[in-house]
Amino acid sequence: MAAVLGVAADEIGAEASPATIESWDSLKHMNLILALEEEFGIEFSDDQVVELTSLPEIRQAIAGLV
Amino acid sequence: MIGPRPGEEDPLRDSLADVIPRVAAAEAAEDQPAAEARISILRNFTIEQIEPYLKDRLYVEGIRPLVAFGGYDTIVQDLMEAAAPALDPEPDILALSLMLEPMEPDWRDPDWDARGLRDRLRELFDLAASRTRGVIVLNTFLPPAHPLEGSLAPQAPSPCAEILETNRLVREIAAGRPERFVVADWERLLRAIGERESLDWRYWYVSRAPFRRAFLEAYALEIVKAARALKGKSKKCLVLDCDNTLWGGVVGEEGVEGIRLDRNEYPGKAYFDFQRSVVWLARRGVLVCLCSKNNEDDVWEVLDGHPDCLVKRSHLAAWRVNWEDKASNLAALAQELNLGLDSFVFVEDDSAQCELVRQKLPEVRVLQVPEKLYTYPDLLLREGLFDTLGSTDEDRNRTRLYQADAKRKSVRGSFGDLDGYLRSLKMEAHIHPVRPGEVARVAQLTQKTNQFNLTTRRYTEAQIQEMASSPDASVWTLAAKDTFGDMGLTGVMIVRRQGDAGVVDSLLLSCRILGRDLELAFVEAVLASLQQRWGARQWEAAYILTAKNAQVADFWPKLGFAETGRQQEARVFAVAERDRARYMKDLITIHLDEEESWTKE
Repeated sequence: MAAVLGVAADEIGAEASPATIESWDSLKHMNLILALEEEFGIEFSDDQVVELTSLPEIRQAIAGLV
Repeated sequence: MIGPRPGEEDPLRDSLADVIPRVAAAEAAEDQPAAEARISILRNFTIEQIEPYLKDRLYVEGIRPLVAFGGYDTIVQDLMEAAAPALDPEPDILALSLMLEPMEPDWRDPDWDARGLRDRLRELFDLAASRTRGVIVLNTFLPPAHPLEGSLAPQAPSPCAEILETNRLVREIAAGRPERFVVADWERLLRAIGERESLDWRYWYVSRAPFRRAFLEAYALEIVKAARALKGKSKKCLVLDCDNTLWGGVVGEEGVEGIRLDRNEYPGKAYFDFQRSVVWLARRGVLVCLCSKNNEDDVWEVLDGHPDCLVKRSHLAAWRVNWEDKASNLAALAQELNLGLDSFVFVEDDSAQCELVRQKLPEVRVLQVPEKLYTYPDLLLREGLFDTLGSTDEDRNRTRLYQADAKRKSVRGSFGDLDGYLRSLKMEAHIHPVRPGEVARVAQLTQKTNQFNLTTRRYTEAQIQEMASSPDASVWTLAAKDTFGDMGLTGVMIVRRQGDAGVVDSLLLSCRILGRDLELAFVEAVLASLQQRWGARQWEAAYILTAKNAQVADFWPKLGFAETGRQQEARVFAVAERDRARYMKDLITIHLDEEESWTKE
């Protein structure tokens, strides 16, 4: 996540979201989703690619897919 | 050199999470490659995801990439320099990335206006050529996998056939002006990669971002090829080993009759087909050389006498057939041909020799004969290493003179000027106070819009409703359409009343309708209407800088507002009603309905 969003890993808190990370804009969000899909070999749904905008939600969604 | 070279046999494919930081590190590094390529991508859909692949690849090629994107679906405006101030005025490469649907929403219907589209493409390409001096990368369009008209008994007129015809035209235009245009042939890329790996329908519908990674990388490579050719980084010299490279087996041991080289039977046919690509490259002007450890006579016996050996002595520019090490031989060939080693490609089957050359002569591009021999015939073609643009430097310089002339005459294609273009869009705007059915959309726009947003204040539905029903506030919406389609509700303006002043609380527009004067017409209509209703004598407005809205920093001054000070993070502006700049152009048909939907008490 840190690599894709272009921030240091320790800046990503447990509750990270676009509100806490300034560089998390819509384009970075798309890259983040694509990188997560590559990493875990999964494919999010159309709703998820839009709505997964915090670390807890992302964690939960990945747990549901792998 | 950064990471493994892309495109090599069974490449170690890096994840996106590796590519992005690698590019960031390369961009931050102090020593940048001497060659740089300025690339502008003008597009009518979301293509920004190509950036890491494009930059990564260019750094591998020893070219520093400077990449800029035009606005969303504002190609003509960008070309006329009205919008997109970030755009490079003199790009080396201008990629026009065009999807069919934004230009022609009805392209799947039997009677869509394909001829009209082709005329518009011609005009657009001419405009691009007259506005830049760089190489322009066009693209072909993607025929659908499943035509609406069915596929068993294709009917005329067939929308698919029209797409193929349009693609033919794009290629023809490029072929007719090779000094200006090259084609990134999406139709071919789609065929090579396949639709499943190329297209992401999910992101197409959600964000107008149609391409998957494999397609983005392939498209990036087409742009890289143009950059490579333009920057003189195309390979010029192909050096080949002999045994197990030009043919299978060792001629010194197995004799001319014993080696595998055959126009019919595999595996000899793989070498035969590889040789065909070598001969083609020689014909295209690539210097072909041999560098092998053999007795020279054995090699000539094959080249002169083997019935299925396509590479002949006459194809060769030079050779080193001896028992010296290959790195020394390659260096000697470079000297003899007076070429830089960075223009060399060396093909060899032996891993140890490949490694030796990579270490001793890192400038040389080393390709190893693949273990999967059936992939060998395409080895030299896949990356387009030898591809050149269809013209010499001299042609290019001559073209530049012509272009300078043309520019003086202020060519703007057949559009006349920007206003002429905007008028041709036949824009219509519906402007009115927010209606009950629009509250959710308005709240969503305040939450999502980042770029054209003067104050970036986020509101909930309840807050919008409250302001809409307040006597001291008014919430307005803008819905726009043009000749290409309906863009829907894409603008919001909120104004509060304070005494005899109107205070603009929020003004935002979706970025896909920018560059068309719609924001000016919107503000004009709202302020004029509220002036009548409230009798406002003075207008106040604010601009709050965020990471994404720098493009509107000068918006209020352009309308005659003067900066009066700061309130916390906001820059505050004001103008007297009689002094404000009015937008009087008639480029947009305005449908104004001033009635409020709520009783304001």
